[in-house]
Amino acid sequence: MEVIKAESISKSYKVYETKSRGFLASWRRKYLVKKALDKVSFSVQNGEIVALLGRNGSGKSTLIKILTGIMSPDSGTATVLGLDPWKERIKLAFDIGVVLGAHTQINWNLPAYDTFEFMRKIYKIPKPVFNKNLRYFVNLLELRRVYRKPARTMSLGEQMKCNFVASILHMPKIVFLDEPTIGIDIISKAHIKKAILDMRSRYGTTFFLTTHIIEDVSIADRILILHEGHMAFDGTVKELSRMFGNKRILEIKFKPGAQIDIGIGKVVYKGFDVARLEVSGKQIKSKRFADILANRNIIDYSVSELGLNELITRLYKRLEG
Amino acid sequence: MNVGSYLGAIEMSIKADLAYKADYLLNLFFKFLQVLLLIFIWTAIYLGTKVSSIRGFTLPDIYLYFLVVYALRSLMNMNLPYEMEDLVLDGNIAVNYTRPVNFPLQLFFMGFGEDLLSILLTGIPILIFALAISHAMLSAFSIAAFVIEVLLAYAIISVIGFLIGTMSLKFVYISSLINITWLIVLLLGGGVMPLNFFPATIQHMLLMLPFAIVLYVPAATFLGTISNSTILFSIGISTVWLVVLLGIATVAWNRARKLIASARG
Amino acid sequence: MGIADSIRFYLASQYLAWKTAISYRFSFVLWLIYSTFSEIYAVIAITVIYTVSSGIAGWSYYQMLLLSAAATMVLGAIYYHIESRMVVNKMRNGGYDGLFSKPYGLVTIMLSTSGGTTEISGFVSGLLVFAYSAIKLRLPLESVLVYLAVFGIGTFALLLFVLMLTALTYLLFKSSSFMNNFLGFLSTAASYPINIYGPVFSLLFTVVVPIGIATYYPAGMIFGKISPGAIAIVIVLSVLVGAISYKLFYAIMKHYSSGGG
Repeated sequence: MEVIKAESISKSYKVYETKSRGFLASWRRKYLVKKALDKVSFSVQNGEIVALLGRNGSGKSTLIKILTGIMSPDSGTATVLGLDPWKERIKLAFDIGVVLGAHTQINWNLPAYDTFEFMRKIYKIPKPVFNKNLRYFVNLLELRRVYRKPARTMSLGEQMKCNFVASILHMPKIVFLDEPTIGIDIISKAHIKKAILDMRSRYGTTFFLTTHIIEDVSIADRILILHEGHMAFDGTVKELSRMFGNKRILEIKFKPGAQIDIGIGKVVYKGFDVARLEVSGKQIKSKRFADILANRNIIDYSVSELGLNELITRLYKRLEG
Repeated sequence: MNVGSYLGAIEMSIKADLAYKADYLLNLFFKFLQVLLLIFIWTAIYLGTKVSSIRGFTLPDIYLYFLVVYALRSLMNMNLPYEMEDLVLDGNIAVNYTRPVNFPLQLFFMGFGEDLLSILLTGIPILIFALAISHAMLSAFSIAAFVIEVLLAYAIISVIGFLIGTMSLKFVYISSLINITWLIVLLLGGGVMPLNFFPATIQHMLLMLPFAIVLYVPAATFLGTISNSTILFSIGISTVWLVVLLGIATVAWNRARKLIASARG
Repeated sequence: MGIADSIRFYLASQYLAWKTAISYRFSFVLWLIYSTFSEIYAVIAITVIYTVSSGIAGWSYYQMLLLSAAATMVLGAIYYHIESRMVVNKMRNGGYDGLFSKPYGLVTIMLSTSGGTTEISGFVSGLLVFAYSAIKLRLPLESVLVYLAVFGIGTFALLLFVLMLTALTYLLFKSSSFMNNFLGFLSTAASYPINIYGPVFSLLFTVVVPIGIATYYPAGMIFGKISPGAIAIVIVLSVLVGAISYKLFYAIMKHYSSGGG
């Protein structure tokens, strides 16, 4: 079942630029129209975890704001749970959760619990349901000793986890996260990822997250990549890998000083007793490859897939021409 | 003492000011409207009264009084505390603190830049206009006294503004505080009515405070409705106040620096 | 979203806001005291004026006190709900984005979460002087209640008006100094009878920037200076101003975008 559908969404901003120099330059300001999103289309199925990647300023936050009804697109349509987010924002709001990395919704001076109570009231969550949900999240995110502290005494990771909880206490069907792991420690990040996976498997919650940190994307079923307002890629990691010839990294350990001539693939690194080569998926299956590896000077070898980092870097390189 | 950097600060603040040109013009516009309101109010007061002059001021005198007060207010902008509040809110105060210039002085020059613009565009033209329509004879003494009073007033307002600005480090949102400080200065400084409208004992007290010299004393000097001895007294006591306030400001600033150093983000 | 729901959101937000304000302890008390100053000064100014002259536009001393106290109450109510500087900062750096994802109208959200909690003492100080003046004037209770009813309608309309204007000035100038200046100007203007401002400004303060709705007109009515017919018109105007501001606000927010993409 399709829960999010974006059709040809476009959105532009005015960005002011002072073109001329001199004392009175500010009087003659010109503005550019920056196209944050340019005919972006995609869809998300129920229970999917989709990650939207893009460099800073590529339009990710704008897309989230449009999908959650905070902003309306200049053209195109967005449909979330069958509703137009802009026109039926209030109706949709009960079924979605929004986690913004840049702005915590946790009250700074009061214990996080007070913010949770606030959410309980405004989402009209019955007390027993609230208590059950709270217990679930506190355990899942290891917040037992944290959530009764004021936000200003928490670490960034704890704040973000509490922010996460506050945004989803009402158990929404879809959760939108905008840069949720900015600047937080690895352990907290892991907790949040664990929570996302657990919620998805237990409750079938759909997650749509944006980030510019490539490794955060590892929990996603599918990746969307925005580049200068365009959807540059929409698919799984495997599909991305296939785009670049399904490359593998072959790492060989050989007897120190031995002269090895592999003859296939591209040498990425060569050291005293280790070499790394980039070979294609096809080459790995070839007989020639098996023969080469039988060379007595080779002590050990391993084959791994191209990392996501590497794949995306190549994609950007290709896009930027 | 890098003069170049201070001049740079003035230039930057004027540029920033012009960048908010609509902002600036509106600011001016509302100050003008406030004066207009006062004129209406005082006209209503005088019309309701049978006498033609109150405490030595005729209605035209009152108009002139507020005109001059308006001109003087174009100089007293109290922008320092707002700027400091913005710096605290944006978290930039630590950054500015680490630059190799004396921060309070730099702030002062930034504020001065805005004020300079304000004086040139509004203050001086209005004073000239007031001079033209006023029939008070200005002696050399009055003119000299006026200039000294205005300089003292500007210094005092700057220091007070700076003091209020340092409160932002503790209380963050200080716009209430700024407004009230300005209200205090306005009321006790003769911005709402000439100070000699107050009962005699209160008048004497008010003349002892540093606020009288901000508006009432220079305006009354300009109009010739104040005695020379009062002028001299006011200048004297205000100088003392300036020294005291500078002392307090130094202490406050040193404590503030400690606060900035300890609060990282 | 029904009114009951909006009220629930408002109360829940106020609860949080008060808890936060109180957590500042000493600062909180200080701010409460500061907020009363504006009424203190109004009282001083009017007392001095009535000492040196026979007053303004035929209003007696206590009538003037009541009028200016009403003005303080209106401005207190406005500042309590909308602190323009904070609103503009929040709009600029996306502080509302999380709140706007909640299932409530934008007006409800903004009016519930954008004010200065400590401004309540400004309102209360005005209320006290209002009550004192009403007692001195020996006003019948029904007059006071009628006054408060009209005052309530007018103040709510003004709240919407100020909210709309704040959003508009953010959109145009990205700064709040217009609003600060503007409200300061209104605060002065509303403290005195509007008819002293001449025909142009009177019209302005009645129709365009309807501050008179909550101050001069109801006060004038209970002192017998303004006919009930005129008051009826003014009430209708209030409702119109409120409704138009409400619609305009939503139209403006359509163009809202906070910093960052």
